[in-house]
Amino acid sequence: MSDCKKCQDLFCEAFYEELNAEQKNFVESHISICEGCESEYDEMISTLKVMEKRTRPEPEQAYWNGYWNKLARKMEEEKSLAPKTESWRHNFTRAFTFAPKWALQTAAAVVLVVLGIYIGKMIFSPSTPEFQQARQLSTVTSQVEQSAEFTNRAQNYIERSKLILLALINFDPETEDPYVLNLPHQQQVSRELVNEASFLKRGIADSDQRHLQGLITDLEVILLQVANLESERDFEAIELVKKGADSRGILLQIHVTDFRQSTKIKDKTTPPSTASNTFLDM
Amino acid sequence: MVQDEQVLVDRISSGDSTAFQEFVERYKKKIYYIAYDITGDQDDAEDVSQEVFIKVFRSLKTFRRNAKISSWLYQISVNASIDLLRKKSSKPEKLMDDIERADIQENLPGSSTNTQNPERSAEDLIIQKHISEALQKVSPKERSVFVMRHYNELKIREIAEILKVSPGTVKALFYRATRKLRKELSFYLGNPGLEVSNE
Repeated sequence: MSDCKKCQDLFCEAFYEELNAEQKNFVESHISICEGCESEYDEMISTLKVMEKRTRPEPEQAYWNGYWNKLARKMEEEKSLAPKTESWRHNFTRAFTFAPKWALQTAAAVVLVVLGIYIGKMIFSPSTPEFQQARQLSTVTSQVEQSAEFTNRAQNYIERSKLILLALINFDPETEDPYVLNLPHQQQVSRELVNEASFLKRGIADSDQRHLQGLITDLEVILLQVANLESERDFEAIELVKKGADSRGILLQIHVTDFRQSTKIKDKTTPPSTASNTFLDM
Repeated sequence: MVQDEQVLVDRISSGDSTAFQEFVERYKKKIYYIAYDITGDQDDAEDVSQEVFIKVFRSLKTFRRNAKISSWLYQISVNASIDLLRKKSSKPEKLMDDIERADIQENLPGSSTNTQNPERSAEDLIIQKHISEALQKVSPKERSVFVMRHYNELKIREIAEILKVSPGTVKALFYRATRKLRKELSFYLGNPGLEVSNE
């Protein structure tokens, strides 16, 4: 670190007289030989002196005297809303507390008998071919449903990650206010997506979907970096994330995945003899 | 002082009904002023400070015993103030409310400042307005650091603890805030004749 940078880092503490003897000597001796730092420090002092002219509007004593009562009222109002949410729970337990014991015992016995009959039927009834077919059909249906749900979740994950990436890539710290990024929100979403990524990766057992697994892993790395950014003004870290996304060609991968997805849909909807299908088969 | 704070927190946790009132009385001004310094609006400062105490009351049981309660309070206050500013970012005109209100009050017939020295009062009002405007031009995080150090006399280390950043980051934010303020207030700095006096 250059002496000027080191000196400027100590300006704040120098003004408020928080430097130790060694640091104080360093600042004083550097300022005496460096005109740039001297004028910088003088300007900082003048600015802080102007800022000392600021006065806060002082609330009247009556305001402070009534502060606690106002707060207590507000807390009371909030408290009065709380029992409403608990009331159903209270009523439910009260219903059981006041019901006669014999009624509860009878109800429990009936439930147990019904449950026993149902379980017995499921286990000991002969399995007919129709029944087996129906079971197989329902298993296949649930597999298809699961697969559709998985595809939807994967698409949703990619879309949401893409939005975060685009927000970062299009952010220009020189022309835009960093708070436009709304980083806390982006970090919250990134964390959710990182959790989602671990679910999706577990779900991809199909070797045919290796490219999707690769994309999800790459996005997960970028999202983790976003989630760990220190602040909106951490421009160096933001730049690193951008470079990471660029070097992995993430946006290109997303486009390729979108294209594959759309051609799969086309595949399912168009007859096998069409030109588009021939092209894909090549 | 820290031990004293701890005793108060223990009393609140054990259900002592007067302890929380004592706690509020002790910190209300500090919290109100820090919220005012960041939001620049008296109504917002009142809302934020009350919200802070309600949050504290709710979560005092989860408070880490080895932490400093005033730092924790400041942390909640700064976050609540910045959150409020973010929510209000679509209505920047509200930030000048107090200055406008002060303007009206100062010019009311019979106002003491108005009758004693009208020229001085008008000059003060302009300076106050310029300073408030300049502060609002600084980003909320830079402003939080600046007001905590300059108006609330918190040390760099304490601010770093409150904002959960390194002391170096605090110094950098403070330095950046000062540079922006210098630019905004260059009128008072560049012309020695117009420089404000510290009477």
